[in-house]
Amino acid sequence: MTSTTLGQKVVSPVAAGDTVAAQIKSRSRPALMWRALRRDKAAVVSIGILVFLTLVAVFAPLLAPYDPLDGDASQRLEGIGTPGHLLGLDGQGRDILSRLIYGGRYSLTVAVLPVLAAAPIALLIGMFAGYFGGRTGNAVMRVLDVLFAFPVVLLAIAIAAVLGPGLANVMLAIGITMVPYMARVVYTATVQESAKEYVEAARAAGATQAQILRQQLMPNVMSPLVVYGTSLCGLMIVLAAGLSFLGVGVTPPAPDWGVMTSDGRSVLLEGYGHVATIPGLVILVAALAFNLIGDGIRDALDPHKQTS
Amino acid sequence: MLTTFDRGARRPRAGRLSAGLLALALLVSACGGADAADNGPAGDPQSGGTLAIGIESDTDVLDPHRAGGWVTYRVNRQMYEALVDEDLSKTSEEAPIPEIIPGLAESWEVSEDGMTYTFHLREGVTFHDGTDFDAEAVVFNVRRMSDPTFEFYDDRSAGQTVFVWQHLASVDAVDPLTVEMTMTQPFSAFLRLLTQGGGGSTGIISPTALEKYGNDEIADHPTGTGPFRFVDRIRGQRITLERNEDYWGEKPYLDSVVFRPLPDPSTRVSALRAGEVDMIAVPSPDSVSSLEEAGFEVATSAPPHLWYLAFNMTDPIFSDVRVRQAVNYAINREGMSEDLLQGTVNPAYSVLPPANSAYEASEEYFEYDPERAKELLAEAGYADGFETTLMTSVDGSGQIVPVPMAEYIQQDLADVGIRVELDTTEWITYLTEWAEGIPAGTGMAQMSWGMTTPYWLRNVTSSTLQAPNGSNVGHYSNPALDEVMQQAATALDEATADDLWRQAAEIVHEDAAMAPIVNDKAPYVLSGDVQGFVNPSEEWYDLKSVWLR
Repeated sequence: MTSTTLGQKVVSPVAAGDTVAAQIKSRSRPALMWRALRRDKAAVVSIGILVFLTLVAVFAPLLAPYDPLDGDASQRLEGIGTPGHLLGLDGQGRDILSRLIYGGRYSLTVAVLPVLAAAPIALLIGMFAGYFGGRTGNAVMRVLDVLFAFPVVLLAIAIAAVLGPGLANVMLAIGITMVPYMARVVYTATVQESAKEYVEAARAAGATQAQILRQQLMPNVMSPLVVYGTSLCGLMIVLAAGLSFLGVGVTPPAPDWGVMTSDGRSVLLEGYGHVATIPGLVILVAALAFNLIGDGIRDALDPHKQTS
Repeated sequence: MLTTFDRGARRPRAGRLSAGLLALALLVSACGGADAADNGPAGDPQSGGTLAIGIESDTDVLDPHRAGGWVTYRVNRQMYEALVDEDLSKTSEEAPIPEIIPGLAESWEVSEDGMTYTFHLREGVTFHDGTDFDAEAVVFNVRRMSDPTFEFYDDRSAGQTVFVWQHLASVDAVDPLTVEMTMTQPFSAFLRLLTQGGGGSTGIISPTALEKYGNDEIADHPTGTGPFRFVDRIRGQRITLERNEDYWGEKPYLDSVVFRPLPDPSTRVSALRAGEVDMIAVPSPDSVSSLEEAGFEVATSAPPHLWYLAFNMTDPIFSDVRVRQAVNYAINREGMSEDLLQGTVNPAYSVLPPANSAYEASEEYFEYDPERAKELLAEAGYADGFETTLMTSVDGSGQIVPVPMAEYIQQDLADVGIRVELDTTEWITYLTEWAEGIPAGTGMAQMSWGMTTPYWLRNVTSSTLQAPNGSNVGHYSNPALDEVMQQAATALDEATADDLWRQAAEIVHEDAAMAPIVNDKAPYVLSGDVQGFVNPSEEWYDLKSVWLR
């Protein structure tokens, strides 16, 4: 019924399709997004922070005052402001500043890569199940529901235990465990968006399923995925630390921020709070930056806000 | 405490007030418990009270024959007794090796040829279920652990206690109070092994209870003869024991004991500070000095607890003795003990842990000498060092703080050019992997262990006990060593045996088959209310003498 009504309003399906495409191409989507994002102060600052952290990690050998792996146990646990060691020393007598500088190499990688790798897979699964629905779509989502039944950490431990410890395996394990969560977000968004008029309009206008999925749905389900994905980035640092703590993650003495925080935990209440707090603060700042960028991207992706 | 408040809130007014007062009283008494600084005169021992102990992990099954590990034996030992016992009422300074004393056997004789042991049992002892203890009960238990033809034979128990019964030929009840055991060969460590609890232990279980519950269920209904009897267990939460009012010996002062597994060291320390527990095992090394300042008592000892590295003898690099020596020279044991571990351990230079008759504290084989290590590596053809892997657990019974310790070793070895990767695994998985033997490509494996008999050395070095058929995880094999250890194990008198064990240790040192690192002082931290606790030269303790003020 509705589709007939809509169909009547459209003069020529082909012409309508052209118009939509022409509108989108009149100004490229990334450019529109970037323009919107630049107006978001918080997002700009956050990008600045992450760029800074990344540069520091890349140029770590030039910046770090000490070897991050070699400590002097006779000076261990000395606090902030120790001569020669601005941020103090950890439980092995290693310079905390140097470890933070090198630590970005591990923590930023582990924050971004698994999410980036999981996103396209999640997008594919979620959109497929959400758009086509039916038995196959339901079956796919029920399989994901089964994976939901396992706590994330448990699943990650199982995968990491099979693969063996190491940074690459941790990222793989985390990436795999994130797929169901991200796919669920895409699925929900797809189901919601599929029911909206513009999809029906496109369908009525004669757009193929591939066109609908790619041109109509994808831009609209991308924004919740991007927001969710960036909010996961901070969490990934902590999850990776948890796996390391259980012996299946980044292996010591790698100066991963999460590992540094959990190392410091044992002396947290003994008057050496700096060992855990400093890397903990860096994780907090990085995670917050990821989240704010996520919010910024969501707004920027919102077609209503792009046009103004 | 929280429950008290909750209940109070639902009661009528008068009830609420009394509940509030009760809560206040509890609060005051809890504060009293936390006030460890109150170190006034202790006064005379008094009966009563519940002792709460924060232990470092949940225990294995409460079946003394089946259970492995020190943590579990510390609980089982309070409920179960063996034929012979150890005097744990003395500290390590007073008695470096706990004396063997009568347990369920009042006395015993060993035949001239060392082949027959006759035990005269204590009269009038009853199990917690009222069953009389007699020679038949002993035979029942020994056959459960050693005789595959016996109805109640238990595979797991046999596996865990094979180190005790391996040379047993027969066990007989001569009369209701006499048991005779014959051996297939003289076995000088036998009596001492009867008292050990690192693997399975030989505590005597009520035969009636075993018949009633069977080999699997008995762990849920522990029934022994010990000074404490089982009340309940909530896995992961607590194990409660109460005083055995019918105990044959001196009865304990405590009404009850609660063992609370608190696997995280910081949590244990916090629980002690908050007065939730009265004593804790294994404080984190960095908390010890501040706990002492706060008035808590730290009881240390010198038990047979060696933290060591086993070398992979089949590894192309570590098969060279010079490499193994170099690693031994490169590790700064003093630094690790004093700096990293804050004096909670002693540096270890002997492959024999302390607290056994053959131990010699003075002998220091591989004192820290990185230059010597570099020379040895150069001689072996590794002037530029090499890469290898060290496998370690991340936690576990008696492992102290394995990862920071491994990182410390990693840095020391890096200084002489050996680049070490750490392969870290959670404890239970680690134990399984370790028991399989050090895998190819891995050069070293960490472990903590020891016994109050030098016989322990055989466990980790005998070529007949190579993994997976024993704990010689590095596949070390030296026929000369095997020969000396065989003589030591079958020697008829202790002096000869000790001499031979020292020779054996000497051979292991020459081969540098292991790298002893530190000996744990096994610290316990007690609140000021806990009196009469003795930390002896063993990994376990007695609670009979403990009282609360």
